[in-house]
Amino acid sequence: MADVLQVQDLNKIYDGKATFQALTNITFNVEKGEFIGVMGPSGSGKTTLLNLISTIDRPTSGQVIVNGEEPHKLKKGKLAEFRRKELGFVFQDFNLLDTLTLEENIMLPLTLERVDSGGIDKKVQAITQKLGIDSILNKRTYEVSGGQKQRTAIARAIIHQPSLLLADEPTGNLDSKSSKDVMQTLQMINEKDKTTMLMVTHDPSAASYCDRVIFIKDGKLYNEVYKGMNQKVFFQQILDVLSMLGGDSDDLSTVRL
Amino acid sequence: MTFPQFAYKNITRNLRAYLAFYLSSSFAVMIFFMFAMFIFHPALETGYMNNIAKKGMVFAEWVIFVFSILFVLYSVSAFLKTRKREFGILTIQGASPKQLRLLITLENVFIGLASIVTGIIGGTVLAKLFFTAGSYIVEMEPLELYFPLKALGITIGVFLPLFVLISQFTLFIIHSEEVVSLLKGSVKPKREPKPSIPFSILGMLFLGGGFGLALFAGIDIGSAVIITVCTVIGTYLFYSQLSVWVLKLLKRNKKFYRKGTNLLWISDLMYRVKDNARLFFIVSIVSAVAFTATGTLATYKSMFTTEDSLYEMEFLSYSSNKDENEQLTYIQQQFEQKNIDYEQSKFKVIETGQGSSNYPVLVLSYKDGIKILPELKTSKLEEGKGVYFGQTEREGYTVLQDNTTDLQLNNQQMSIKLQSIEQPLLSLHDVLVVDENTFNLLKQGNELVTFYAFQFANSKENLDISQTIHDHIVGETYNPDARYSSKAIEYYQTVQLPSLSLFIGLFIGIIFFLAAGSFLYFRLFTDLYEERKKYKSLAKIGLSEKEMVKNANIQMAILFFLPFLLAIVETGFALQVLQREGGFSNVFQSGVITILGFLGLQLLYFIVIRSSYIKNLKEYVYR
Ligand SMILES: Nc1ncnc2c1ncn2[C@@H]1O[C@H](COP(=O)(O)OP(=O)(O)OP(=O)(O)O)[C@@H](O)[C@H]1O
Ligand SMILES: [Mg+2]
Repeated sequence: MADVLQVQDLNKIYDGKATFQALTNITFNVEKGEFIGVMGPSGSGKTTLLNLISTIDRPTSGQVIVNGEEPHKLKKGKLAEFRRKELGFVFQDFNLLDTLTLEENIMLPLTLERVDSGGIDKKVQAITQKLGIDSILNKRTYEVSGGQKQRTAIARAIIHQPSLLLADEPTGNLDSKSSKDVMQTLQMINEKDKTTMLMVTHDPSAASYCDRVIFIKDGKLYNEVYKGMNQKVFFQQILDVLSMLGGDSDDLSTVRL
Repeated sequence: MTFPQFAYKNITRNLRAYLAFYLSSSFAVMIFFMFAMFIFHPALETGYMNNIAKKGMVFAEWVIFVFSILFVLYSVSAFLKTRKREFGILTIQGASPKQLRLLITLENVFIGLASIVTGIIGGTVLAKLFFTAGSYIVEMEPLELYFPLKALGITIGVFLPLFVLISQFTLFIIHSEEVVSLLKGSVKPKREPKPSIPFSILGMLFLGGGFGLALFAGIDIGSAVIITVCTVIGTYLFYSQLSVWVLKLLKRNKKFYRKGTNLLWISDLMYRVKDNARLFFIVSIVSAVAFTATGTLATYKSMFTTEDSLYEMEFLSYSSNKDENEQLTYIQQQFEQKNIDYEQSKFKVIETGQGSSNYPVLVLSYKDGIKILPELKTSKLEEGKGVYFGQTEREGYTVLQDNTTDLQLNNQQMSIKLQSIEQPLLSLHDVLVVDENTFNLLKQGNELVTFYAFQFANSKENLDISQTIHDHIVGETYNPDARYSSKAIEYYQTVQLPSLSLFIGLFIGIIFFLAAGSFLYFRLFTDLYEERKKYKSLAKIGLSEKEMVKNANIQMAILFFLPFLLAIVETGFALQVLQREGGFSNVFQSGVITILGFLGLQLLYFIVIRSSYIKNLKEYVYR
């Protein structure tokens, strides 16, 4: 099976004071080594989709299959193990622990896996050199820039070589220079390690690093665009779809603190 | 909307942030008020407690107040941490410093008033409960609930200014920070503390010095103060420096540090050691005070035994006593005033000492002896022999060997053959009854003293006249010309006073223990929101529920039991001093029982808090 991720007829209904259908019949596949982007207006259900794929939340109906396995059918304890082994996460707000140095943050998944200390050192060294953060390993989160933080988070996400790397607006808190750094890093990992990636983003230029972008509107698949040979052309195509999506697409790329 | 309205709305909307602050303040007020109620209790005002005990209690009240201040300050700073951002936004929105000051002052006064009211109500309820339960434990009449005007006044008078002062302190903190750092607020991370070698060594020296002095030095006021100061400083440095060192060493041991969740809790503990140091310090000291007070006062219970005299009151007058007649009339007047029907007996006796320790004994003639104890007739007293009435052991000393046959009297060539040793007759002294001839012989070398004995019904309810008579005859300390003893006073001293002491000890212990417990509680739950967020993001990268629970367990266990352990060690040394220097012979035994009791309570507390904490975490993180 070449598909690392299969999403089939996924539905999510939030129960609350008023029930709300956040996702309707979402179906798509992601091949091994593919770098896929998910875009759509605010409130369209992107984070919801990512949460379902990452097993943080349960679907109302439908299936998520990662590497042939259905994580939502696993027991609690197994689920944590599954996340730890198969998935890697990159978040908008980095989610690094202030109490740890960058190095310790990166090795955290390995210590939870009880990898021996020497093995940890080797892996940390290899990965941080690749990402160009090996000189700041002993610093703490408040001593480094946003881009460096995000690259640290990426290092943590891929140190155990996950089958699928999930990212929710990884450039959402970064300026354009750092965004570019981070996107190039992700692209490099994608190309070198053949890591499969799924990234939610508001930022068209970030999305233009993907191989394919799928668009969601009001919880439904709206469109998808493949990258040809040229990133600039791809970028333009993305902008076109976004303007067709309409509404608040203008301020999409300016949502920043 | 007026500004006070805004302040009011601000509180009601931000309820959760305010709740912790409000609850902890209420708790501080409650403890203070309960104790004040106790000190000013009318039953304790009237003669129950001597001056030293009372001073001790007032001292304890001030200690409670100091801890209240720390406690309130502590919760204020936790409270502030969560709200810095709000102040930053208000400032940016153009709130003037004056408006901000008004807002914060109003808030604090509002919360302060609310917690004073709550604390007083809670204190009253709890006091009633405690008075009832406590009196049941120590087997004495329950103290009545009364209208505690004085306690109310003091509590309000002390806490209202405290809250106003604290709001000014809050303002000071806010003003000294830039708007930017306010905006970053609680997000702004602290720096990891670096242990200092000199201070760590100093900490060890202080602790070692304090403990060493406690073991070996002679104890007077001066050295007691030095020991206390050493221990207090040492304890603080122990937590703020030494513990950082230990954590640092743990970190260096990569094999250990990089295993499972160790990385998480060690780094977290290290990171928060500064906050924790203050907390651990307070909890240790407070717990040590609680254990020592309870342990010491609990010994009273077992130190004395009651012995029954045949008479309600005894009065012994030496020949040198010029006021004998006046004192006797005084006693009789007291009886008449109280309408007590009494029977008075009068004997001429010899007072002398017995044995190597020269233990005082009254020698009675057989004729007088059978007046006191008619049964004496049946056991015929042989010529030249005597019967001894008294305890052979007193307060751990042997007064008389059980099998003594020859009693050596002081200043006397001849010894008295003992026919038998019987239970005590009188409470004033031991008694020796001898036949007429021997009595007459002894009379030649010794002066005669006059012994008056009074008998009447209702012995235990004449503590007040007993005390007046005692004051009249014996005075504050000692009268070389006369002795006086009363069953009521005896009973009070051997039964009621120890019970009361134990009660007070329990009361102080439990109050301090509650205080320490609440510190832990508020620490835990002010951090809960951050912890939940942390665990949630860790869960996303694959921290299992089991690992989270384990990590939280370790952190909580350290929080609950590390200060407790040091407190036990400190209590051990304190009790050692008391045993050696204070004449509390079996203080260790009651100390151990006390500590075990508190350990049980702490365990229970830990289990309860732990389960609710973990449940909260689980619900939020893993649903
Ligand atoms: N826990 C929840 N309960 C109820 N409704 C929710 C919940 N989480 C999200 N929603 C709703 O579901 C819809 C999709 O939310 P989602 O967070 O997936 O949007 P999004 O595409 O990630 O938006 P954004 O671009 O702003 O991050 C929104 O309308 C939101 O209000
Ligand atoms: Mg989102």
